[in-house]
Amino acid sequence: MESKMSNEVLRALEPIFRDVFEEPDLVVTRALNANDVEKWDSLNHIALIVEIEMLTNISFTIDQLLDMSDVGDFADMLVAEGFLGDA
Amino acid sequence: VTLDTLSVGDVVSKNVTITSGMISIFGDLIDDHAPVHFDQAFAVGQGFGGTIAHGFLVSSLISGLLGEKLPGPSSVINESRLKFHNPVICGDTIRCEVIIDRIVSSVGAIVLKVSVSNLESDLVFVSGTVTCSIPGVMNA
Repeated sequence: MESKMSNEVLRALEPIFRDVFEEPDLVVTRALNANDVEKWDSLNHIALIVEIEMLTNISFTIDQLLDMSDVGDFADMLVAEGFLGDA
Repeated sequence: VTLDTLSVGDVVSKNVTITSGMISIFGDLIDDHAPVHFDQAFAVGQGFGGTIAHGFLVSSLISGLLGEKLPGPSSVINESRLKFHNPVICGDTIRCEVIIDRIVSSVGAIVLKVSVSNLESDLVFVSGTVTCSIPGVMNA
């Protein structure tokens, strides 16, 4: 069930990833991480987190971000925080 | 400047009168000498009330507020999304304002709403959002 919700979150996040990294065809999967996206540098990481916070209205802690190894972890965290992808 | 010293809703502003000297210097700096900025008759013929300031001259005044006041000297701009609604006529006195809209502490970022408007009529020249960060806090 959580996986299904996480997939909904992935779809909600996909436009942000495509915009921030300027990759209109980027497919956001649970396994996606910074090593997979050429433009995922420190500045774009800031832009990504800012846009996701603006979308979800959830504030993340540094520890939460450090605990994430891929987008799937991020989606699970958002679900746990109450975001279901329908903002 | 640290994130702890900043709060959502913090606001600063300044009033600036746009002069022909400012337009001249800026035009030289960016190599834009289009007649609408320097030729009164041409500008009037284009339907303006006089020569107009470069749009980026107007928006650059926001940068001064960001770097000097809010968030302050430790911050750098990451992104700006601006709309230019109306031209600023030479001689206009404008009000530049920035206000903190969101603080994203996990990556050391500050999102600010920015605007430039006519001091007397509230006509909006430029509006949008700017994201700044404080290096050293970023790189999560």
